Amino acid sequence: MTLVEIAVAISISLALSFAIVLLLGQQVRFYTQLQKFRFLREEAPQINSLFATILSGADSYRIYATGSMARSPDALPSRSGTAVRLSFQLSSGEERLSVVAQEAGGGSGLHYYRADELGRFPETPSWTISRAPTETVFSNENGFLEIRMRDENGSEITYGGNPD
Amino acid sequence: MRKPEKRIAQGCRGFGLVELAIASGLLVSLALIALKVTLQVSEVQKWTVIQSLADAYLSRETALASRLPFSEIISESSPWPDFPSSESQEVEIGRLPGGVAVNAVLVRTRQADANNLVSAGGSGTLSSNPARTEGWKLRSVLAYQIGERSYYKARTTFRTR
Repeated sequence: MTLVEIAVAISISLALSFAIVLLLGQQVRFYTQLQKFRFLREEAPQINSLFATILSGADSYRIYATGSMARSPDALPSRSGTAVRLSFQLSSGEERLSVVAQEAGGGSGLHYYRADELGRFPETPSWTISRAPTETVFSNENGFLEIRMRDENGSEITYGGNPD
Repeated sequence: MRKPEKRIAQGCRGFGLVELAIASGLLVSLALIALKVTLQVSEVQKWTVIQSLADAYLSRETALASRLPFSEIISESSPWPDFPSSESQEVEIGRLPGGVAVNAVLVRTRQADANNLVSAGGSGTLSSNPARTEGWKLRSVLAYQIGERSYYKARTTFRTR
């Protein structure tokens, strides 16, 4: 093997290594990009389905600025906010309350609180609808309940609905 | 002992280059396959996401059509003009990661129920419609594009009084 052959072989080996690194980098970037769509691709349809089910069972709703206000019996409702209080009339004539609220902090996400028969809400959420949205705004400005959600990557989706 | 070594060395001369050429060929093929799969997956993903956004936007249309007071539905300035008139507007149905807006064209129109009285746009009579009920179909059609294909999605809400 001559020196020229060795030089050519080393150059091609280097080029191959570089190409492999580029290929791996491209795959990593693609995976990262794919993950950014996760909210719209996986979470949003599920949240839509859950909201449709919850709202169709409710009889009325009120919007509050924050989740803690929605869980408080004395707070005043507003036209838009990060929480909605739902009222369900049972066949016995009793009323049951629930709150859906977007909350920040350690357990950030969209949470569901179910009140007991006396209308008292638990301190911790009954369950979490999704942790994907970083911002949820409930609004009644167009005459129906509008739910606009955003995630950390700038994705945004808006739903509309009415209690039956 | 030295003779066979020499023969092998002469026979293998340049073989390394052939191996490298095969390796680079395989790598290029692999890269092309990976690129094709990547493009296919991202197209399918975009299709799914935009369909979700369109469905979500139309849920607003259904909610508005169900809630709008009847007097506003049949008024001159109704958001759903009487067919064949229609109202068309470009709307933002959502945003993709990075805040990229997804736009669509929304067309609204309303059609009278056939049994409405003539004064309410139908062909019914007092014998076929003695209670003088009035019904309107509120149609919202969303037109949007994904790639080179155009899609149309519609929702109809029936309102009566």
